[in-house]
Formats: sequence, C-alpha cells, structure tokens
Amino acid sequence: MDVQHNIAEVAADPGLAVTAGPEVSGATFHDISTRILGSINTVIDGKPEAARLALTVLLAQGHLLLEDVPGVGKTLLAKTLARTIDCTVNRIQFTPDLLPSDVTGVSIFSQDTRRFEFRPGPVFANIVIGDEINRASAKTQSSLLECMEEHQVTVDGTTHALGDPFMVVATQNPIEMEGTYPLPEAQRDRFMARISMGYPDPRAEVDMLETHQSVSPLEGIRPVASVADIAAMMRQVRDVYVSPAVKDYTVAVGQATRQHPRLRLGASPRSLLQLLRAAKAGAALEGRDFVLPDDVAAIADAVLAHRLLLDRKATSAGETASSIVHDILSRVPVAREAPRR
Amino acid sequence: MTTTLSRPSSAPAPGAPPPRRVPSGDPWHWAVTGASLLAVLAAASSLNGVVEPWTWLMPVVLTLVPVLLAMALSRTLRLNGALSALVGLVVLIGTLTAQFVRRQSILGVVPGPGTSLELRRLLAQAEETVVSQVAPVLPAAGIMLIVCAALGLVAIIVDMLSTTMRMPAASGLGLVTILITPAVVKPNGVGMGAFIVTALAFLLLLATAQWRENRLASGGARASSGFAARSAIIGSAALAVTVILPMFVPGFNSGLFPQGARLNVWGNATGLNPAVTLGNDLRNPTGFGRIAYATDADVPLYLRAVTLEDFSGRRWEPDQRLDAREDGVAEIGAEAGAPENPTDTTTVFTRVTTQSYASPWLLAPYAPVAISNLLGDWAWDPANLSVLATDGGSTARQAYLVESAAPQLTREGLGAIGPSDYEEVPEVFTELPEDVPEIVRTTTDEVAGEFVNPYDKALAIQSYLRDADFTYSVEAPVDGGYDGSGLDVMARFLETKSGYCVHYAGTMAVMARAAGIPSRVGIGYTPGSPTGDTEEGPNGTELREFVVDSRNAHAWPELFFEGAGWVRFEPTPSRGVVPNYAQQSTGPVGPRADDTDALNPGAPRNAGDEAGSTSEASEDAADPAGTGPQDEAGPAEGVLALGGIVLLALVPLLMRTSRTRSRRRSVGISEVSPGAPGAATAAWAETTEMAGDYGYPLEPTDTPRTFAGRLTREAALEGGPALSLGRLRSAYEYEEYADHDARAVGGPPADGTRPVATLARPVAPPRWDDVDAVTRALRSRSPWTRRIRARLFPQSLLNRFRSSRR
Repeated sequence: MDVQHNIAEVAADPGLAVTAGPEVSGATFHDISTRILGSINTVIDGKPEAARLALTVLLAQGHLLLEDVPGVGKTLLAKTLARTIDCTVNRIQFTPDLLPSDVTGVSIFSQDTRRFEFRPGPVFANIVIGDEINRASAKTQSSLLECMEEHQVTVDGTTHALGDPFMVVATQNPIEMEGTYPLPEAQRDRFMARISMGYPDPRAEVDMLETHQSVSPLEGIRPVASVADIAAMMRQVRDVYVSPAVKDYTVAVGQATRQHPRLRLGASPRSLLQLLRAAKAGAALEGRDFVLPDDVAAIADAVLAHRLLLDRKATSAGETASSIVHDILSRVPVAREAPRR
Repeated sequence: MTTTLSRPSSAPAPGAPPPRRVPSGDPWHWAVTGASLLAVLAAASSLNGVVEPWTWLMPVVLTLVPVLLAMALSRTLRLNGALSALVGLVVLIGTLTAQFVRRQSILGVVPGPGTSLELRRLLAQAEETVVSQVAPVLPAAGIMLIVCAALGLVAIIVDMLSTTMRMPAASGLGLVTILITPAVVKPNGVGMGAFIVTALAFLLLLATAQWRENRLASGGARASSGFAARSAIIGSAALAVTVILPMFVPGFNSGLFPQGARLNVWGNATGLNPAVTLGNDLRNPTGFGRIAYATDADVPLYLRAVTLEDFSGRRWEPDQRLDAREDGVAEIGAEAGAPENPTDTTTVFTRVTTQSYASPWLLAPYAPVAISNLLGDWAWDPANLSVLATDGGSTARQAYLVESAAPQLTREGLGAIGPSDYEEVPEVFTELPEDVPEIVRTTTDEVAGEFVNPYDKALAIQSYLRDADFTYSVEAPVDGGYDGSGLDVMARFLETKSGYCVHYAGTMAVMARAAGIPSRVGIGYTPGSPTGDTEEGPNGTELREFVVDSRNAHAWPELFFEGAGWVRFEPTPSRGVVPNYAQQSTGPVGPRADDTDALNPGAPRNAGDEAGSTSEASEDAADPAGTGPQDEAGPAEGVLALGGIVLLALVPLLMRTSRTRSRRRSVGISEVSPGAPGAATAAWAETTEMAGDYGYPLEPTDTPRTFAGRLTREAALEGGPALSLGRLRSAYEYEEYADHDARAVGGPPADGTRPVATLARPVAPPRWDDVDAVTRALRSRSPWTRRIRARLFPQSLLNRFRSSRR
C-alpha cells in the first residue's frame, strides 16, 4: 500500500464536502489547523507532508524526531512550528560538552535568601527544540529523554512540572556522520514519530533560493493559535472515536512487525498506543471524529519505522525499516470480514 | 473484553466430559433434532418398494418421534451426552413394546414376561417374510418390528452424531445404512425420488447444525444468513451433478450393483414384485433353488406357483384373496369358469421335492385336483387354483404329491369358441386401466383386429410376439430402464421389441384383455431337464424325474375361453414349450372379421403382413438390445438436460440478483427512515461486489479509501459516478468506524477556554441511486465479454466463499 498516495487521496476526499464541520463562533479545529499548516508552508517550501506530520504529533501530545542530513530545514521546521503557536519556545544546541544540568536547570545558592534557588533550564518551555541531539553525550541525552517521558524535572529532590502542552522536537543527523552518539533503541522509542525531511524538489528549491535570499522567512511568522487553542484541540483529539475494527487493525500491524522475518525488533505496545494516538490526531485534522484504518496506515511509517531493528540480511539487501513497514501494510488485511448483508 | 463463561451447574463429573462443551442456553438443538427426524424419514422413503408403499410410515413415525423427543428433552435437561443416547434407547424399547408386543407388556410399554417369546415369534415371522416373500413385502408385524427397530437405532445414532457430538457430516453414514437395503433389494436401486429427498434432508440437517454452531459461537446473536445460501448452492450443485452427470456418461451398468449404480429416471412404476425377481433369477448365471419333480405326464409339464391378474395398480400383481380361499388341499374343487363336465382330461401325478426352495406359493402342475403329503396349513383359491400357505409356512423342504387333471385341448375345439362377454369370470381378469398406452391398443388392433374368435385373436397375438422382430434378452430391459411389469413397461417393450418372459407374457395378457379375452399371467417354472431317474408313483405308474432351478423361472399368459377354461399360451421365443393347441398354423380356424364386413371386401390382410408393417414402422426402435430405448428418449432427455443446464447456468445470476434486491430493500428503508442500521454497509457491499464482478475486486488489505481510489483510477470514473462512489464510501466509513452513541463533541471545554468547534457530523444516508450510478459507469466502461461474465458468473459469489474462510 502506498502511504504517500493515501495522503494525497485523503486530501482530495470528495466525502469531506459532507463531513466537514460547521462554522461556529470562534475558530474551528479545521480553521486553526489550516492556519498553522499554511504558516509553516510559507516557510518550508514543498514539504506539506512533513508539516502535517509535525502538527499531528503536536496534537497527539507526542515528541518528534527530525532526522536528515544537515541543511534540509530540520531546525527551520521545528522553529516555524513553535512560532506559529503563541507559546514559550526554547532551543538547546546539543554539543558533546553539554551537561544534564544545562538542559534541566540548576539550583544555585542565593546570597540574598541564603538558600538554594532553582534556575530552570531551557527544557522549561512549551516547545523545546533539541538541535542535533545525537551530538551530546549519552548522559545528557537521557536527561532530556527523561523529561520527555515524565513531563517533570527533579533537581535536588524537588520536582518541577514542565510546561503544558510540552513537546520536544529533536533533530539529528544520520548516525553515520562524524562525532555523533546515536540514540539507543529505548530512547528512540520515546519519540512518537520520526520524519525524514528529504531534499525539496527542484522547483521548490528554486523558490526557496529566491524568497530566502534577503530576509529570514521566520521573521514574517506570527502566532496563529494560542496555547489554549492547542490544549482544546488536544482534548478533541483525545475524544476521537476508535472503533474495535481499527483497534484490531492496529494490533494486527503491530503483530506483523513482531513476526516479520527480517526484523530483529518489532513494534512495542507503547508504539502501538502512540500509533493510535497519532492516527486520532490525523483523523481530527481530516475533520473526522472517528479513526479510519487509512489514518493508521498513513502514519504507520513515521511512527513505527524508527523503532524497528532490521537483521543483518535485510540491511545488506538494502532494505530499510520504512520499506518493511510498507510491506507489512500491504499484507495486513483491513476488514475483519467482508461486508455482509 | 473478558467474559467469564460459567459452567452449568449440572456439569458432568470430571473424567467423563462431553466431547465439546455445550454452552448454557442452547435451545437450538431442538431444530437439529427435528432435522435429524426429517432426514431419517426421508431416507426411509426409499423403503417404498421394499415394503408395500407408505405402509411403514405410521409405525416408523410412532417410533421415531417419541425417541427423538425424549433425546431432545434429555439435552434440555442437561443430561450427559451418553445418557441421552441411553434415554433414546429406553424410549425406543418402550415404543416398540407398545406397538408390537403390547399384550405381553406391563403397562403397555415395559416388556413383560411373555415378551421374549412373542419377540421370537415375530422375528421368525420376519425371517419367513424375508425368505419367502418378494418385495414389496406385506407390512406384517414381524418385518415392521425390524424396520422400526432399525430406523430407531439409526435415528439415535444420527441424532447423537449431529446434535450431541456436533459432527453432523458423519451422520450421513447412518442415513446411507438405511439406503443400502433398498439399493440391494430393489432392482432400480434406491430410486431417484428417494435419493434426492434423502440428499436434500441431509443438506438440511447440515445447514441446521451449522446454524446452531453459528448461534453457539456468537452467543445467540442472529447468525449470518450467508451460510444457508452458500450451503444451498454447494448442495444443489453437487446434487445436480450427481443426478445429471450419469445420464451422459455411458457404462454405469456393470459391477456389484449393476442397476443401483445408475439412478433410474424411468423405473418409477416397478417396485419389486414376483415378475421382477423372476428377471433377477433368470439373470443369475449359476442357477439356484434346485427343485426336482417326477411326473407321469407325457407332455412337458409347467410348474405353476401363482398367477398375476390384478392390474388395478397399473402393474401385474398377485392377489392373495385370503377371504375367498378354501382351506385344505387334500381335495381341490373346480376352478371358477371351468367347464362343468370336462370330458377329456388326463390325470397326471407329480411328486415335487422342493429342497431349499422357499415360497408361500405351492408349485403344482395345472390344474391340481388333490395334493397330499404336504406339511402345514394350505388353502386354495377357486379363482385361479393357486395354493397358498396360511400359517406363515413355506414350500421349503417339502415332498408332496400332486394329482392334476390336464384338460385335453385341440385347435379345432378352441377355434370353435365364439366371442363371449365372460360374465362368469371375475372382473379382475378382464379389467384394464383406462390409460392403457396407445401403442398397446393400436398394436392389438392391427394384430388381432381382423379376427372374430378369441382363439384366433390369441394365436395372432402369440405369433406376433414370437416373430423374429422380437429378441429375447434378460439384460435389455434393465439396461433400457423398463424392467418390471407395469403398463408403461409393456409399451416400451412393444417399441423396443426386446425383453424376456415377463414382458412377453405380460404384454400378451394385456393385449388379450385389449382384444376382449380375460387373461392372467402364470408364474412358475418351465419343464426343466430330465435326470433320467424314475421312481414309482401311485397306482404303480412310473414317474420320470426332472430338475428345474432359478434359470427355469418363467412367466406365461393364460387366457380364458368360454367352455374350455384357462388355457396356457407361450409367446416367449426360445423358452418353454408351445402347447400343441397353440401351434402356428397357416390360417385362422374361425372366420375373419372382414369376412363379415361387406363394406371392406377388397382388403384381405393376414397376421404376417400386419406384423411386418408394424415392425417396419418401428424399425428404428427395434435396434438390438438396449440402444433403442435411449434413442427413443433422446429428444425429451436432451430438452430436459438442456433445460437443467440452462437453469443451472442461471443459478449464479439469480442468486446475485436476489442478493442485490435484498440490499436494495435495506437501503430503501434507510432512505425513508434515516439511521436504519446496515444500509450503508449494504450499499457499500453491493458496490464492492459489483466492482469485483466487473474485474475490480476488493482486496483484503483494501480500506474503503484505497479501494475507492483504485476503482476511480483504474475504471477511470469521473464526475457523477466518482462523486457517487465517494458518497457511498463516506457513508460506509461513517457507519462502520464512527461512534454512533451520540456523544457531544466539541462542546465548550470544562475549563471555559475558547471552544474549538465540532469535528464532524453524521453523513447523509446512502442512496441506491449512487450504487446504480457506479454500476452503470462500470458497465459502460467494460467490454461486452466482461459484462456477460459479470452477469452470469459473478465473481462476488466466489469471493464470498473466500472471504468466509478468514
């Protein structure tokens, strides 16, 4: 099954004319998501799927891993997403000498109060951009990853809650690059989805050269949604209905990864939970309050591929985790049984 | 979801669990038991012809219903499976006792002290029936007891297998055991009707059992209706192949069950009767049932057992006439209609030693006057002088002496007898059914119409049948499917001109009646071969010994002549001996019919010409053995087969159309009252199947979207049809995947922040117009070959089988 094709089909959905929500006072879910995506697309040329995936992960309350070679706009995407929303944004440039306390914050002895005071680190924000996360030492990486999981920071025995919403958008270079500490499997599992940006197509690249020459495209970006909007949208995403058939399908996909002969490690139960959450957000972005198997299939590559471990034979045969996910999607039956009556 | 299934409180003790646990609340086993009853009764219908038709029905129903009722009740009461079989067995014994040995029982149902004695008597009687009678046997108590007991046991086994052990397919074995008896005993095998009825009942049993399985599996939810339809197709297709295929495949005529291998479409009128066992005897190459007789007669002697004269049932049947019989055979009176003062008779003494030959009818030369040295009680019939055992005895191991008076008959004497209205002869000897086949009447008219005197008519008929056009064959009637003694068999015999003594004798008797001469068919033995031994007879005469066996079994016509009594003729060529008085002659003894007919003087005809022209007219049909009848039936059979094939070919179309119609109905309901469940699914199922019929099948990995996308792309749908497809898909997606328990989505959040509005609302209900639009578009884009295939061989029917496997 061609996932890319699915997305195109979803976009050109004649049924949507009937299913689109009505206009009510204030902005609809559809309006806000359209505005956010529109803003991002003015900055990132020719990557609407990446923008959409990023927003999907945000609404599904997950964390996003952007992985690609340097210079294709990973950081720009993260920054743009953060700026379209009226929220606090921090950026951490990971380097080999970065310490955990540089991420979480430190307690400093105050001469005035004669007590230790907590100085929050850059992780205290709604959206945290972790640039080149694989350049930092494993110790520092794990300090961030713990924050991602727990949504809180504990320093010197005191627990400090992180922002709400809280999303980490980490970028990393492919592991073959020099001077990197690849994320271990357990930590990759914490990211809801991984996106490879890929090079823009030639036309988009020409446009990019033209518009980005003089001014930074980020400067024109104004927030189009408030934190409250995003929180409300997240609630709606949580309420999206998942039918038993779709749950069965999700589990079937997960089991297929565990039984696939070319995989050493299949999808974890946590990953299936996240897959379904992302699918809910995807459905909501489509204007639906129920999940279709298509929503699951459309996001399965992004959610599952970075957690799968290929065996040596598959690697040497040039297979990738993505190709295996697509292979699985083309084999797992959708309907529990053919429609009757 | 977790469901705790609780064991029923009366669960069987550990160590003896039933094969598979039957969940609590299973009222559906009643239906399966009902189907079992129907199946056993349907299989029992093949007993028609083994026993007198339908006489078995009442006793069998009275046996089976209580047994199965008790078994079903025991299941409702949650008795162990083995116990319910035991209950069935006990009730079976009870019903048998009540029906057959009530007088010896306690309270009518419990076997009492005298029961075993009575049982032994009944079983002996049954054995006697089996040994001595020819099927269809009379429904005597003994044979009925065995039939009821056997069917009761089979019913218990069938019900155990299909209901308790839930292996309904295996219960077919039980039904087959019922069919074996008629398959072996009846010359036509089980018979088309009984076979089809049994097969259908078995299919019904399978369907019912599966329906119960579905109900059990789904915890009582309404099961899918697809199963019944599927089993109906498979079953009827298999049945049709079984029934139709052998018609076109030659060579189902040999082997262990030469006649049973082919379901005989035409053999409806013949059950089993003496005439047909006779055919089986003749076909037996080894010969059995050796009988020796010694006689002082100087002409070859026919031993006669019985005569067939009752034609009211449309075939020759013996009539026991138990009321009219007179007990005691030491002295036998005169036959009704015999000449009052026979002048020229020869008294013949014959001593018959039967050895193992067993029959209730006594073998005696015609016409017996006195029989001595006979064991048992015997009675003779004044109407035909047949001698019948009245105490259930038989001829086995008897050696008796018969004194008979053979009348001296001459051609001249017989020829002088004029036409009569035969008032002294009972009607049973003259009756012909009204629907006598035309060919019998026309042939009789052509052969004997020109003669006036009955004797000349009889001779004409005999010589017509002894003509070279007729071939003696014991196999041809069986191969051609007209073995027996029914009216239609006579007609086919006259067409094909090939058969054996039963056909010759029966046909001559029918033609004689058609010509106005009372007639009957004698059954017995031709003279056989002399052994060379002699023995001393009464009055010092010398008796020469002859032996006959089953190969000498024979049938011959006996015709009544006013003043001369019953006269034997011999129309069968190469069998028996033609009596002197019935020898061929050059001309009629009496006047010709046209001698008295002045209006038609110039048309002298004789029997030879008649026979010649008749045989010419039907020369095609007179082909050597066996091929004739099939050629004759050719066109009708062809039309029938063609009609069957056309009907079979239309089955997929009809099934597909009926499915479409039922879906259209459910969609129509939802258009009137929105929200009716299942409408969108029905519309989508119709759309996907229709697309599959036109070559765009729904793959198991297809989501509605991928399927709709592929269909739009590959079938190049655009505009209206594409929008219709989109609407159908959306409606189906909504029905299948959305949450239908109304849930306020997008209401103001609890924390009072700005609302972010509703995501979606229910879509419009599906419309059948959309299905039609898509179908039309698909049809218009398909080549005609695919259109025809989509109509006549819809792939969706197959796909449903495939999908049901998942």
